[in-house]
Amino acid sequence: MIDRFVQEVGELLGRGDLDAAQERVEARRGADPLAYHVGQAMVQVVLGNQRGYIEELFKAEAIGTTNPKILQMMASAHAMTGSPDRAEALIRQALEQDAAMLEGWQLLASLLSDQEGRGEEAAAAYEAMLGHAPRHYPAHMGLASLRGASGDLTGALDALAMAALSKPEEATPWRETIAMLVESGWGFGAMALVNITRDGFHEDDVNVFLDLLKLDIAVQMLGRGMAMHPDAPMGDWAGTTAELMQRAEAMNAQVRNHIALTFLSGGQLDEARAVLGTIDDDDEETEVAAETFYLRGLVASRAGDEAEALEHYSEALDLDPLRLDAAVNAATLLLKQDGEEALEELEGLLSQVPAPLRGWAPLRINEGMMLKRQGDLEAARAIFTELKDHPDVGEFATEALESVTLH
Amino acid sequence: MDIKATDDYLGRLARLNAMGGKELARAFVNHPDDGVDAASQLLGQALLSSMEGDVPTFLQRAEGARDAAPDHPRALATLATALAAAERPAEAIQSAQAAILSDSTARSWEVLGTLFLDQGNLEQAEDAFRSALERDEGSFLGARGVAVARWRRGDQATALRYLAKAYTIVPRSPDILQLAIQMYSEASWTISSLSMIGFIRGQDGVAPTTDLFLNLTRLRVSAQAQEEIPWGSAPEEQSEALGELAVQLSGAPPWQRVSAAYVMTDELSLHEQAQACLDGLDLAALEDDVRARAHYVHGLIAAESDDVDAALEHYTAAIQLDPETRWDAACNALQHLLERGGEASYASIVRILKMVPERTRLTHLPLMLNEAVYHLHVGDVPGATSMLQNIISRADASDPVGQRAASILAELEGN
Repeated sequence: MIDRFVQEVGELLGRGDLDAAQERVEARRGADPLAYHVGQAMVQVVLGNQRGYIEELFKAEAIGTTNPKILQMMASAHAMTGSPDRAEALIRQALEQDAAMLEGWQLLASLLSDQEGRGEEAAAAYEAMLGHAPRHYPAHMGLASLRGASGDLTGALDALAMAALSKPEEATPWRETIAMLVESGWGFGAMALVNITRDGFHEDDVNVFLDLLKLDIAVQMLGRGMAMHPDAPMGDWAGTTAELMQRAEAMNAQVRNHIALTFLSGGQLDEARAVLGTIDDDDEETEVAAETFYLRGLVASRAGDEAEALEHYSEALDLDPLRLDAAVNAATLLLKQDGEEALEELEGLLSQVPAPLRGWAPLRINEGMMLKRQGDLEAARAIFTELKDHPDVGEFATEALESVTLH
Repeated sequence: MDIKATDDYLGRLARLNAMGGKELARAFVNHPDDGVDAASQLLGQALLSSMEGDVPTFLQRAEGARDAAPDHPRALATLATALAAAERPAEAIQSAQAAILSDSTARSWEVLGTLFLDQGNLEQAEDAFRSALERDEGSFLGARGVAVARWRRGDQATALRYLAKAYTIVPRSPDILQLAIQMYSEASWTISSLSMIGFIRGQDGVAPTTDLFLNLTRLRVSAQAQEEIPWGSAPEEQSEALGELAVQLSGAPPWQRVSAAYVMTDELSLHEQAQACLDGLDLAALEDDVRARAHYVHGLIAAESDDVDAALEHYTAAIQLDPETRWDAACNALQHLLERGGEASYASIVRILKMVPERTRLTHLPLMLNEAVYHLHVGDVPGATSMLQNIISRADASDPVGQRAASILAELEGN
């Protein structure tokens, strides 16, 4: 009987006849309090009064019912007030009464989707819903969202496919699919477009830029090792390297430095050294020449020639006292050497750095190591203590502090 | 006022920030060399606040620097950047323009260009960046700015030349390669999607429905690609997709064939292929919503071949079966009937409008627009006016339906 009442009020409200609906509800006042409060709740929805909707349904709940439709409405009121447990209990009770109630399954799935770790239960609720309505658009979209969130690209695509074909009028499944495809395949597209673009240009600077872009895209898509592999799907690493080597000579020293750095990052030491060898550092501005020396230091260091590396780092720092990275690398190498001479050299090197910048943690930690080697354990301990919580060098400082304490 | 000294000082600050982050920048600013003038120090402190993401302090210090050196172009330019960070765009532009009046070098123009670019004012941004480059060929921000502005204006070839130029000026800037990658990724979304569709469909175990859906997606994307990358391989892609689609649909359930036909007509204007999807289907055996969709597609196909009577028949059948979803059929039917005119057509319009639930009728703006035009046709100006006003109040500024409603209303009011 209450089902019929709910249906009638719903139809009146659907037609926009609020007065007639209110009249019908009012007629139940006193005689049928459950129907009255449920009807009032329905009217409050149309009036846009969410609080009123919830209050009326709470009053109805106090009276009690086993009607699944009304239990579902009560569950939705609890969901709105942030009581998912009570909402879940009510909606499960409703579904026990009417297992084919789609709105019930949808509410349950939505409640479970919002709770961490209950994605599979939510998916099961959507599946149950689809058992009753195989082309139910919101259920497929809900599943797609759950599958996508758990990283199941195939599962998400299967659900999006069903959603899109169930309701082709909706643009969302297509849009989400394309976004998903673009996100996972951006590198293929970007690389293809770079290759298409490249045919239209003959200027060295543009082609060098595009070659570097190709290497960067490949590395970002696949990681360096994979990108350099001869069978990598992202293009011809060796061929691009050869072209870059050839074109590098037409470029200024800054660009050549950067090309060398790119090769160096890929472990292509011979290529990096060859490009750096084409730079006449006497012709270059101080900062550029310092960069060249620094990179030569890196190449030598990677090749295991620490003496040569040290020489280049020192030259870089001589030319540009702000080249603190060269100072740090040189300090690390000097600390590996035995004997007083290395420590003296390190002291001299650190003094080249402008005083206020000597407090930079990577330099300071080397200073601490130097002091430790010189036997000034108290000063070393003070530095390591000061740096033990530093985000970059804290771990090293803590270890160093322990070793100083053991002494 | 030694502008070059200020530039050197701020340049060193930027380098140290890039190398060692805020820690190093802070040490540099808080222990200035003896030779650094007061204005530079104040600007350094302001920029440090900016690096630390503290906008109120950045603005306060930039204002302090401007008060201490009111004519210093870098103080005005820094204040402009701070005002922009504080979301005061008009004042930011004024301050940047004042900086140019005091010092019309590349640096000042770069700041103005950056502000225009951030505000989406591409033309003025490009002018400003070009002015920077005219004054200094080595202006990194000038070259970068022209590249971004040209790219956003659709001139990718020029953009690429300027990106390469910016790279040549400051090759170590990680920003330039990343910017280019982002631009290429955005521009190549069609190629990316098509590549991934090919990749996924090539895997084992793809469900037939998913395979059909991906092939339809491929059709939609390649149609878009044809517009965006005219030199690409979209036409071949499309014809291959259509060939595969014919095979896929021969084994697909009827409701999927109807959905595919819908996509082909409504989205892709492939009417012949859509007709082929529907051929041989027993409409009476379909569920109501699917049958309604099939009638709607038949209506579109009939309208395309100028058989308006058949189209109207199908549209009417579609509305009867699924009046909530098939507001589109009602909209098209009204359009045809309004074009045809006459009492019989107007009577049909009334019948069709009665078939659509009121909530649906008053939800979809294109249908409302046709209904408003109907009111005009039958001389009900107040009815038309009220409906047009309703449309205008709900449409976005860019919505052509809203624009059309506004122009009809303006015409009415003019009369």
